[in-house]
Amino acid sequence: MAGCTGIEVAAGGTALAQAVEAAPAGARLCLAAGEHAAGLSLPRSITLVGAEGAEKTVLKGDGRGAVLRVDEDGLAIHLEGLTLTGGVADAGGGLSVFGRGKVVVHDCVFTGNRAGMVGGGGLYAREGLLTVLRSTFRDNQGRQGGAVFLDRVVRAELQRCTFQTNEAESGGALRVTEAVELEVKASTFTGNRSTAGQDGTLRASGTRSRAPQVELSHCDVTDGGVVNGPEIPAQIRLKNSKVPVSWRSVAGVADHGGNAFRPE
Amino acid sequence: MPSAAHKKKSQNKKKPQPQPPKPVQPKPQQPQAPVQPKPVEPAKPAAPRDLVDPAVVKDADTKALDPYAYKKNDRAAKLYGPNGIQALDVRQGAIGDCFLAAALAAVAGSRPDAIKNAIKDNADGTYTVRFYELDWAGNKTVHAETVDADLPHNGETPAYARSTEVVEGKQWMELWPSILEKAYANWKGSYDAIGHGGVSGDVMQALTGEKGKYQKTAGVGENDALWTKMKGASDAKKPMTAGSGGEEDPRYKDASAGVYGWHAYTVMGVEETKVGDKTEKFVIMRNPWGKRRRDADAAKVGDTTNSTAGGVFKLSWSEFRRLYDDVTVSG
Repeated sequence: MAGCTGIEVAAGGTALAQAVEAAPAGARLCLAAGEHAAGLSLPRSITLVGAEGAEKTVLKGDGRGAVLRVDEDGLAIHLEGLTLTGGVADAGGGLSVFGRGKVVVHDCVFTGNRAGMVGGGGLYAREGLLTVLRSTFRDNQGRQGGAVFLDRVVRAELQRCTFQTNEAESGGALRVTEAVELEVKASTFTGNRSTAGQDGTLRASGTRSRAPQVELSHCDVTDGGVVNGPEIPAQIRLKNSKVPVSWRSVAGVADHGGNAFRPE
Repeated sequence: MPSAAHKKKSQNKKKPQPQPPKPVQPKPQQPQAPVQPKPVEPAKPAAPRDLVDPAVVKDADTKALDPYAYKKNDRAAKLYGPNGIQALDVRQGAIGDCFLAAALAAVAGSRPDAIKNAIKDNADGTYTVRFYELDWAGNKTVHAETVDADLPHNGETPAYARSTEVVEGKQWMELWPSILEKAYANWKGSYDAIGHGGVSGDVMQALTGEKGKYQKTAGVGENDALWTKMKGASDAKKPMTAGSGGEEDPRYKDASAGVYGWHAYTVMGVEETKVGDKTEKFVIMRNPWGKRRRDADAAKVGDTTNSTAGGVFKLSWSEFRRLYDDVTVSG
């Protein structure tokens, strides 16, 4: 398949499910352009590549769970050039990561996914390492974290990502809890919405045993506020970012220089 | 009138010499009546310690239960009722923590020792609850929360998670479900922090120290390994919960299904029944509301056991696979 070296997977039917089931650990699957029926658990380390890019390679959920799910510990998962859509899960409609491993996502689109019981309409992760590069989260819905919910002990980096018109009760774009360590770099946030409060962009909170650390650098937040805590706040650092002026007065949000605060 | 001679005689009389003191004879000892001990008044119990309470849930749902005040525990309530810790004790209250209530019932039914070992009665009106959590490397750490027994109240009963145990016709205020919920809320920041969904596996892990294992049910066949896994877990007394799909899913539109979307349930166990030469498989479920159905739905389908079954119902293996999207087994 042009641009991809690996096991070729035709679009349609159950080809993807069968390929995932049969692939040895560490396999690289090259997905043809078209729609692939998903709603799959990834049982071993694997790379899934949309050879012709996310716009042409769509993984469609089956309405009963995440589009892709990672439960096992110790896996290395790599997703590239895919659109994940149609996932309906309690946590992580597009991609749900419950295992402690390493997940790398780049040049993917998460759109039209839902997570109504816990959250993370586009993506939910709770353990291990997560890296998301040059990916778009658009029109996802979650109870908490319309686009992304990072929970418990995951260490994550979101770089050059776009968060657009996602919605949640709390944390329209991002929800971060517990001991999460998150770096958001060079990412944009527009039109994300929280139905219950002032946290259209970000809601972060800790527990009495640990609190998250969040850094936004070179980010552009057009609108959408942040709620930190309120009972147990996170440490939120802003660097060289443009954010709404309301962020300045939120306890626990620290100005580390180079920031611009746009009027609301 | 005395004569002068008589007077003289009086003046010449000698002063008597001082006499040695007479030896004091000890008074004879009277037998003393036995001293009656003063009745000891029972010590007044120390006033219970009053700790800061976690904030209640802040959303539209709570407005219906105004006033939403904390009620002081009147000390009549006990941590455990006469029947001890049972799955059916747990009843979810007015907040969105079905994941917690379902998990508490699962642990209560399979591992009541885990609950007993988690809660320490400090004998001063407070309870210390021990929770486990995993750090980034997967190491188990311990966290303790101390709470008192003041609970958000709706005027008659605690408004959040509570016990359903009834003793001699009277609703017994058995505290353990409420105390665990309050301690969990305290740990996570507030009732609000836990009142908008969560993961049952986290609660089971917090109490047992063992990580939950999730499995999807969609696509699982009649003879799938999932049945073997669930049967093994049931036999080994491993706590289990199951989650349903989205609320708007057509599977849950029909009241006859008796299962609600975006809801966590306790898996009480599985059983196999011989019907002729066939073995029928069933899964025993429990709705943490303490009733399978909302009252209106029960009336609609003529469910006459809704109020008495404690939320427990039985589904065939195929119906379970159809109606639930995932299972979490602890340990």
